[in-house]
Amino acid sequence: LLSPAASPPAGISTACLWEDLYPRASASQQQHLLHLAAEQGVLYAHQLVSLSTGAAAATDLSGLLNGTVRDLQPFSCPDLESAADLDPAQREAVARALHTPDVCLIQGLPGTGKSLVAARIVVEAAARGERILVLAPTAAALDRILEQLGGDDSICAVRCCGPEERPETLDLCIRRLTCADRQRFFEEHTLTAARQAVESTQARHAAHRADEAVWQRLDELTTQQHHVAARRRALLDTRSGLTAVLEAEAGGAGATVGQASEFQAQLAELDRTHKEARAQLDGRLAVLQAEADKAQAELPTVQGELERARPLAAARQGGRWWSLAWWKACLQGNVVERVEQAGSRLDELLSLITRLSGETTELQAERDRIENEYQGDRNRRREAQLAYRQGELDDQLAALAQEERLLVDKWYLACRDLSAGVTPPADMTAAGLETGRAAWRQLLCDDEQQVELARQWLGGIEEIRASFLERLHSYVNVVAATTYALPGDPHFGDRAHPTPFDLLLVEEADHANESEVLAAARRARRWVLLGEPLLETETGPASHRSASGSATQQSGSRLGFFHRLWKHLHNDPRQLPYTWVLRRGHLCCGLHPVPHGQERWVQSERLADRPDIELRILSVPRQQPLLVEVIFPPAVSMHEAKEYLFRELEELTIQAHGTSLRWQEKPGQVVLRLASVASPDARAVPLDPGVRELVGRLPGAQLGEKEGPAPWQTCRVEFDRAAGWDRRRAEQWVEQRLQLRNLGRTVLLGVPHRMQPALAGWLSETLYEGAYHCEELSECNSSAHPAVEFVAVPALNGPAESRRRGDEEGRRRGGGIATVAPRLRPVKGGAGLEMDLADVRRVVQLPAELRACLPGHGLINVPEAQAIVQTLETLAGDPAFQAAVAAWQRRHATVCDQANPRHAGRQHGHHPAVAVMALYPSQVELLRRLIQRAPLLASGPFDIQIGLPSLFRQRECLTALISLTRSHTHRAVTYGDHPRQLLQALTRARSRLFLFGDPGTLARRSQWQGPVDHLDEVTAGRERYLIGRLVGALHESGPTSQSFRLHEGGSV
Amino acid sequence: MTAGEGFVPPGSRVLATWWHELTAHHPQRLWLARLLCHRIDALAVVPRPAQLDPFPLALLRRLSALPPGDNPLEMLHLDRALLARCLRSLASLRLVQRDAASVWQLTASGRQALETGAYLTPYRERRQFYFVDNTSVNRPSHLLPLLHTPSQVQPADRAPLFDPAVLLACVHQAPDWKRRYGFPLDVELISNVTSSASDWRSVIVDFPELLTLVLILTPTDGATAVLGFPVGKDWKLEQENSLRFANGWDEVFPDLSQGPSADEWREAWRTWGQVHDLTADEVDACQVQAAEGRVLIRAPNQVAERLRSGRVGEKLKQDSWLLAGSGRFRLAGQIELLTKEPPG
Repeated sequence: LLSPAASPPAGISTACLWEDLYPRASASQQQHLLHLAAEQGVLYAHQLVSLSTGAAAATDLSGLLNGTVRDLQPFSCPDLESAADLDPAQREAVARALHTPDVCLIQGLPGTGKSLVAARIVVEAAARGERILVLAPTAAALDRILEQLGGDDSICAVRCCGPEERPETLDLCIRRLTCADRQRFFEEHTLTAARQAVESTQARHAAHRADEAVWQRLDELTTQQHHVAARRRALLDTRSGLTAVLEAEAGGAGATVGQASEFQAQLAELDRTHKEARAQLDGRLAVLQAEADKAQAELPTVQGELERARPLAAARQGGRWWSLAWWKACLQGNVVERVEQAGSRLDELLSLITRLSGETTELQAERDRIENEYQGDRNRRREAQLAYRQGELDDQLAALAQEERLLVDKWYLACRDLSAGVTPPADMTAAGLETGRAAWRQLLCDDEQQVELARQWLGGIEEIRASFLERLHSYVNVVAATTYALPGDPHFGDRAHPTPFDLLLVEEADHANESEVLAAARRARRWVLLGEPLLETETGPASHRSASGSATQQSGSRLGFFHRLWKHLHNDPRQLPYTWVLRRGHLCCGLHPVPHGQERWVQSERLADRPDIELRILSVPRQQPLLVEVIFPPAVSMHEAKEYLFRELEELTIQAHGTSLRWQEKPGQVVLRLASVASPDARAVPLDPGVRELVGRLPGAQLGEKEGPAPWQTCRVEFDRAAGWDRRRAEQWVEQRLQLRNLGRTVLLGVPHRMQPALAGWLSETLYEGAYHCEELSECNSSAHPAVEFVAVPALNGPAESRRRGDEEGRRRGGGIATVAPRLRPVKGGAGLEMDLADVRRVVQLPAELRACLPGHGLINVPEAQAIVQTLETLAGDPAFQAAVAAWQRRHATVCDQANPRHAGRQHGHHPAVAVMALYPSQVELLRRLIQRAPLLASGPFDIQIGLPSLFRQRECLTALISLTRSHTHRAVTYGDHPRQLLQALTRARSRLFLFGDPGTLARRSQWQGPVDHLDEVTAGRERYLIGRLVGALHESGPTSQSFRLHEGGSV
Repeated sequence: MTAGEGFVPPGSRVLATWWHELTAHHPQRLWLARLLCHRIDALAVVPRPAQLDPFPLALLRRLSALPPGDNPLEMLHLDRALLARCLRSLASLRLVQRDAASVWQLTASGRQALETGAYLTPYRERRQFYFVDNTSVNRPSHLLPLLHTPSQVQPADRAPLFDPAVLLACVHQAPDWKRRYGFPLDVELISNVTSSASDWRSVIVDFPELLTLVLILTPTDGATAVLGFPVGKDWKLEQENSLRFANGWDEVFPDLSQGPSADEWREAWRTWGQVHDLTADEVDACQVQAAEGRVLIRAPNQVAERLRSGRVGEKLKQDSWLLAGSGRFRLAGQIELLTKEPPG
């Protein structure tokens, strides 16, 4: 019986966990697994089997150096977003550096923006949360990157100082990044500020607390004011009710005792007097009335008597005896008398009544007058009393107002006593006071909180004071160190924290020490190395085209580790062995280069079926015959020849002049780009089904030539997706036929950003075999001045030189302008103007004051130095140059400030307008003295810096003047310690380059093969190549020669 | 290897031993389960408490007390880059965040951390989740609430593909569901890769495994529960059950309740008979009927007599268990021998 779990099948152990397995995988396996996981959503155990067997190991930099790159798989990376300021190659470099699973090499010629790319990689990687270790062999390279990191908050960088480095010599912006400075900043700034914050919050709290007394005083004043206001209100109420009160008092009620007695007594007296007068009048009136009443009462009687008697009397008097009246009158007696008496009485009564009525009227009038007088008097008295009393109240109110004003003044004064930050009450009321006091109490609470917070903050940071640098380690995400300083750094060195880095970035990797970089590489998961390419002489296509490959091996073994890695990882289409040439109108395809000395073993054969095609076969004895060349008849075109070779020999005879393979995935095609510049007239050569090779004309090549290199190149190879091609299959197809595989781990920067097109064009043509890519290079002769000027010292038309040259040669040259300059005749040596300061016999020829300033040994060239001074003086007098200098200084000040605001105000001398370089310290010193003494230069017309080329490492200038110094009579001599120096000097300038040298010595050096002085064969070979190119430029060859001018007269 | 292929079930004695060992649980039924499981190794995000260092704590305090609009970068007089990194570090712990005006502010977690001095950090750790593969019953895989991992598991070399969405969906289930099926309540998130540029730690890995369990139906609190005991080497049962379903087991094992068919019982009886020297005619002469954990064998008198006596009879006393079924669940039943009435 098979019991469960008795024999687990072969494969992955159940104990295997992903986090154990993944790190053991190689980078390509990791990439593949991640791809699978993303595609499936899950990884299945059987897909991990190869990992669990331990077959693969993680990528190892030293392994790559040994050429074990077979396991590396190409990877694709998305385009970099938000990098509009970078050129396409720079963008690709940053993207590849960020996405590479293991290593990325970035090669760039001087001035192509390597430092910028390095800085951008650091910024982008930091933004992705990675820890980055930045290394460089020199502090200058390191600091150049750090400067360009700018004020990005996502970066917390530390600059490690080497044991021999003095922090005070570093730029301020770099010094701030050192551990010592960070600790100092923490202690002197952060801690001090925290302490001050505690003190100031405590002081503020104490001051606010002291306001308690002020608030009490304000309270008292407010209470007083409240009372006063109440009193004032009462008085006002009293005043407004005063009329009613007086009325009441006049009525005899409601008055205060004192006031009422007087006011009421007066009124009473008045009333009494009035009453008496009225009573008297009333008495008299009553009497009169009585009399009048009596008279009135009598009057009817009298009138009646009269009326009765008067007819009787009239009858009697009239004698109308016939009348009864007469008889009555007679009977009554004295009627007439009686009538007369009654008439008199009536008159009397009427008179009395009239008199009495008059008297009564008079008395009534008198009474009314008295009454009116009484009322008026009474009113006047009341008014007077009212006015009196109102006046009294007004006085009291005024006093209260005064009191109130005083209280308000006191209140405002008290408010002023409140400490700063305390809001006084809005108004002098209890409510206002309470509101203000509540705010004050809140302020006190806030103060207490602030004090507590400040104390806690101080406590917190004091607690980490001792361990600040250790904690800094956990926050720092960029560590920058020189390769030699890192291992011994106390904080980030090998013996310090072993925290791994996500990315190691090595700037100037071509100059870095291999073992130091390899040691540092163990601390990081991925590596990005930046460096300059070698000159063509060191790694040119010829060295790769050996049939046996021995040349490659030999040259490879002499290369530095950066270039060795580049060689392993970068597939240069120029390394392909195929060469297409025209020979007497016949198209010849070289399939393999014939090793030197074996040409005699090459035999020709004709094809049986195509006798017009000639095969050239290398038949070395005891070796397999090798088809090295196929020669086609003149009628066969390049496309036909290529198609024939692929069909018959299965040879993909690609000859391309691009420096990299570049895969592009399009909707319908997968394209392998081989040329750096697209050729619009490229024609297709059909290869396999769905595959075609596009062959186009070489830029600048002339068709119709019968001899020389064929003017075509392979621009691209296209694979149709419709025919079943995809990227992977196409890559396999190309690898199978060309042994070329783009691993995607190398990027070549070729667009010159430092140099102007004219200068870049000249450098590209002269030194770098056209490696600079710039569309403007063709327009490089637009400037008024040539970009490069060579000043021959001594003058080529001088007596010494004339002696050396024939008259005929001299006649061919004229005007000192090299656009029509002659070819230099092969010479045996130079003018012998150099002087060894150790040679006492020659030194004595120098002026004494100059001699005293110069070192005791070293080479100088006085005429050359004088020519440089003269050129500088000429430039100083050139308004156009002055304007260019001013623009340069403005640009650099702005760029520097924009790049990092903390660097604002820095001296633009960091990138001087004019750099004067010499290859020997003694010549530098001589130049310095002569320039100081030059009257036109003493005023400092522009910023000049003088030094060895190494001083200008990682720097640039507007114009560079280079003193080559050497001028030996007959011997081939070296130029400086290392050819690197001269190369560095040649690539510092932005717009103009002046070279001062002895053409004869240069020519002599270019003719000498083999070691020279202290230079070994390889280094001497590099120097010879470099000098040879300069000499070539003197011979005015190449399409950019219009950018070059030779001054034969010893000065500009 | 899948659940059914190449699996030779245990004999009757083993079943009898299991029944005997599990008597304490009062088993009503017993199955032998051969389960194809997916052991899913995934990165789970689990909040874990962590103590704040004095410096971040002080920083949080300062941030909490800053008046609106104040810039901590200026107030604290710290190196800008260092402070920014600290803040980002706190932000990664979800203790602070930038508001709409890009001002740093405490989150709710940050305020809580400030009060307690500790915080819950989204700790990432790899966890393993067992899913039973239900492809054979046309159902998605289901989380298996294993109480502990069996000591003996057998890697499966072939298995249907596991759908990671099943795992990701578990996170969003209700707490009751999680408790019922043993999904950890503390898991906030399961990471997964969405592109090749994703973090490699987020990869979900499926280890298909075969798990052999003895399942019993047992009465508990007036209901029934299913207990699962891992089977170790030599059919040894582990002492502790690694599976316990009070309810919901029919969702995990939809086919468990479907007992073997009559043919399968007959087949089991036939196999038993072959092993125990019964002739084919004798075996075929018996009627087989499953009933409540027992298998009623109605045999003709002659056969019954033979089964009760002699060597076969001895064997019947010891090996009285049948295991029927061919799928991942095989039901065990104890033989009960009955005499078949003569026809007519």
